[in-house]
Amino acid sequence: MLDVGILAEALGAMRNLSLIKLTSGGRGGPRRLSSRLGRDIFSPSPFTRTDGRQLISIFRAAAQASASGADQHAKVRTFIMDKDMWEGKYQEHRWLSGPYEAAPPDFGSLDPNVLTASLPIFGTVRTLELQAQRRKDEGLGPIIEQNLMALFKGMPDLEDLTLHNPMRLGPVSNGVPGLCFCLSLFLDCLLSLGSL
Amino acid sequence: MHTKREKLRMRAPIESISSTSLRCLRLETCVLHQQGLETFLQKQAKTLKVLHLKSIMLEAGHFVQFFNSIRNLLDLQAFSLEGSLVEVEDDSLLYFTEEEIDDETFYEVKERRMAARAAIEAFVRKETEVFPVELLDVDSSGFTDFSNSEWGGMTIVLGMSKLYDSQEVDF
Repeated sequence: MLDVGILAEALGAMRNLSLIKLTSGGRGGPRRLSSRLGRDIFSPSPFTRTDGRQLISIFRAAAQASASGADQHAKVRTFIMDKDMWEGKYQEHRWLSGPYEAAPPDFGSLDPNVLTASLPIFGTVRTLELQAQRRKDEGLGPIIEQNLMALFKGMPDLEDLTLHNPMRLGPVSNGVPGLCFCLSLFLDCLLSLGSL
Repeated sequence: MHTKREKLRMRAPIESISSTSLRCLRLETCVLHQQGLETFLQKQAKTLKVLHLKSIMLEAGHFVQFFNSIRNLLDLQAFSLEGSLVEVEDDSLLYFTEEEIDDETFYEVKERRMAARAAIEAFVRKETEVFPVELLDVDSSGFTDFSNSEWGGMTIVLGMSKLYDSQEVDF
């Protein structure tokens, strides 16, 4: 689980941060992305795996950073959420170690107030890409819908929008390697902070 | 066999987009409401130049009117269409497996569907005046009662192509 405090500090410190990408694990050469585009980028890494909890952490950290950092925080222009950033239950991950909460938070349980408070950082987004979400839990459609509405309302400069498969709610199959994701937010934040 | 699943309605989120400078929109495997989309497109008509649609389910409408609206409201520089076109009734949505609508055993079917997509693209881009109704799997323009349709609650106007199935995200 990402440390929201450290992540908020990173978001406040990296004023030139322009892109956040929460993406699927182990594919696409995460280090190449990192080295090609520079250090002010959150990029995937094979060392950590992610799910909807990282998404929540990002929004919480952004809310915290914008509350404490005035105008000195990042203003993200591109925000990409790869598939299953919305997913809640990941106990079956064989790649993960350590205890897991029964139902870790995700976009379907994100407090709309947190989302709204994060908008000083995410409200500057011009390119937004939301990929497939799949929920095993029933009844979260209206919450996700409300959060999507809050997100879209709070991005007045949006120029490029991709919604990929935002409707696969309900039962899905388990145990597929494609359900596994990685993210080096924590690691990259530490590295970026260290290089400041 | 159908699997009924919860539906995430996209009408309200799409209509809530506050930006009036949207230039590029890609919607893939979405349920769209015809009237809601028209309202949205009217708001974005000045700036929206690139539109990509893939595997769209249309709620409370017919695709002939749907593409006519896009054609009339927008002046697109690029428009592309992939996957299936499915009309669904208002209050329930039956999902389907890809195999159920991937009935392209014969090469001619696949050819026709690819031609249909290309012809719809040309129609929306105003390169032709005639909507290619004859290339669709079903001309649904006269349908008013979805509950009597073969699939119960939906009409598959254009089936999915294996070509595009193979490019789907691997779950």
